[in-house]
Amino acid sequence: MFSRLPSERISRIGVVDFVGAAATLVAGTLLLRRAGLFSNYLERTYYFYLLLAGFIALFTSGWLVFRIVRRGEYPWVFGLAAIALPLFQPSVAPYTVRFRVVVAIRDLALIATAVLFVTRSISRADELERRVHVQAVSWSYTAIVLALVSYAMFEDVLPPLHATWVASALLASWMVAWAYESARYQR
Amino acid sequence: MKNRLRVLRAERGWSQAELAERLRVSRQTVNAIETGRYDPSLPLAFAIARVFGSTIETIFDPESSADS
Repeated sequence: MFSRLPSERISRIGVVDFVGAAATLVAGTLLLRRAGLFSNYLERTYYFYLLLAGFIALFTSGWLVFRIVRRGEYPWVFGLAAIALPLFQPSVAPYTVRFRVVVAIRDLALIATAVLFVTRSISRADELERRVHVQAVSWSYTAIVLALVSYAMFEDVLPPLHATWVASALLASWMVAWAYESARYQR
Repeated sequence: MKNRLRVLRAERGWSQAELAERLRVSRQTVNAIETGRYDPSLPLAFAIARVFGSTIETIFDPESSADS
């Protein structure tokens, strides 16, 4: 039903899953954040529905990510990580030890799982795909370093830069460069 | 570098995916080699020659460019 795009690492159904996973991840995180931040001020029923909707959204996102991982379409994980990282800001979480520990464990578990999956996928890749990754990383890191140096020149007049934004930009640019370099070898 | 991969594959009636499976590479790698956009490493070139029961120099022509 869904034909493959130039790179077999990205299918058309993968695009749908990626968009769905990204949208539900953002929605779920924002809903739960709202529920967490305003728990003392919200009506009980409204609070419950916020929590429920947030967990359903995150569960849906997790299920879509599972479908992506099962098909071995690991490049989407770069895109999802790029979207997820700005959302995972421990400093935004309420400053209680319990909450921070929960956030830290969640972030570490998710990042470790993603890194394991991506490194295993790349180690199984063939020589052309590895070459494409090397080229993609060299392009994306160069672009981000140039952007950071440019930012540094106007640092005093520009808004502060969060570390998660930089990490997110690195991953997003890696994915874009990977897609471009992959397409370059296909006709 | 020009090569006879597409011709040899067509002679055997294999699809790119079938050849990729035999070579343990992705289909896009076979496609990139056939179109001359990617020159395989020496181990992969030997594997290609082995699959077709031929030699590297009869499949690949180092004197010519795929663009020419």
